[in-house]
Amino acid sequence: MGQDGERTGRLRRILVGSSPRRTAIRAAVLATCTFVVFKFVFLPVRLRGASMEPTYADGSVNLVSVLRYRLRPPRRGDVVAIRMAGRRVMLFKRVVAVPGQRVAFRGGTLVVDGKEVEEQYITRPCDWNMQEVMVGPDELYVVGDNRSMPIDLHAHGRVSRDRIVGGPLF
Amino acid sequence: MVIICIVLAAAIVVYFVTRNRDERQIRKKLGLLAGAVTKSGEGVGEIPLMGRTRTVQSLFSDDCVISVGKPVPDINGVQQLTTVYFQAMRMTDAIEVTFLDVSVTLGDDGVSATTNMTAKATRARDKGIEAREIEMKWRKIEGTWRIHEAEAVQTLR
Repeated sequence: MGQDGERTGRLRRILVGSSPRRTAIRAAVLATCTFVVFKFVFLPVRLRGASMEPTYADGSVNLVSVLRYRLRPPRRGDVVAIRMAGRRVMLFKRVVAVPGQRVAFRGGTLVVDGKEVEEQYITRPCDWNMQEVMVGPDELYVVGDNRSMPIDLHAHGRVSRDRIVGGPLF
Repeated sequence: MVIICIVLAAAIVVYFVTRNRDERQIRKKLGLLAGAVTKSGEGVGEIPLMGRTRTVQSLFSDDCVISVGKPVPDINGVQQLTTVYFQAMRMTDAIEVTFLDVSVTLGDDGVSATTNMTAKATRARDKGIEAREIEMKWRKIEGTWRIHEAEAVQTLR
């Protein structure tokens, strides 16, 4: 009986600590912090599809840093998360041109403002051709890294700046 | 004093219940639509398909206009919608459709509303996902909310 009581007491200490009230407060604070961080600061996402391969594989898990572009606008070469109606479904794309720039593809090479751009992150063959497009104010031109797929099947284009949720943490 | 408080509380409850009734009705109809266009691996038999077709018909206005992009063709009118739906449900593979991030904006006139959402379709075969932002315009016809227009929003232009 005495041993049973001692065992129960030890188990209780492990589960709720020496001060159950303090443990409850700590648990509540931890739960609140977790909720705030993963709801407003780092959004957990699972990537689906091949459009950002090989940089981000289909099925990989990441966190979107919501605060990344609060202080500075996205730059060319940044990977951004783009919201659709909300944040439950987002597109991951790379910024290849910023407001005021002209963007085109010639024989698979990215051309910005008439100059060919070398992209280190493109490792697969690309044969895209696209007429020059002007990026408007408060817009970005975004493309995926997997340009081995036909251009018609690859979601790319101008996106309004206010649709940018943030950028991937990893 | 107590009676005044009870009356006030009741008035507040009634206000919130009646205020959100239209929005609740629209969200419920979107749930019905998602269920009607979802197809399980076992397929849909003829009789359940007839029932689903009637459900879809009841959700749209007679002169509805649908333009949500490929593979769905542009549709004018509920009769064409019924034909397209019937064919699509027979031909397509198993697919699960969900509407996410739904926002409902009710018009000041009380008989119009706009919904914005992300429609997500998951193929059962390869778990491939197709997502599209869709805007729907609703009309309240004889006390029932019906979809009048459905159009794809271009996230990337």
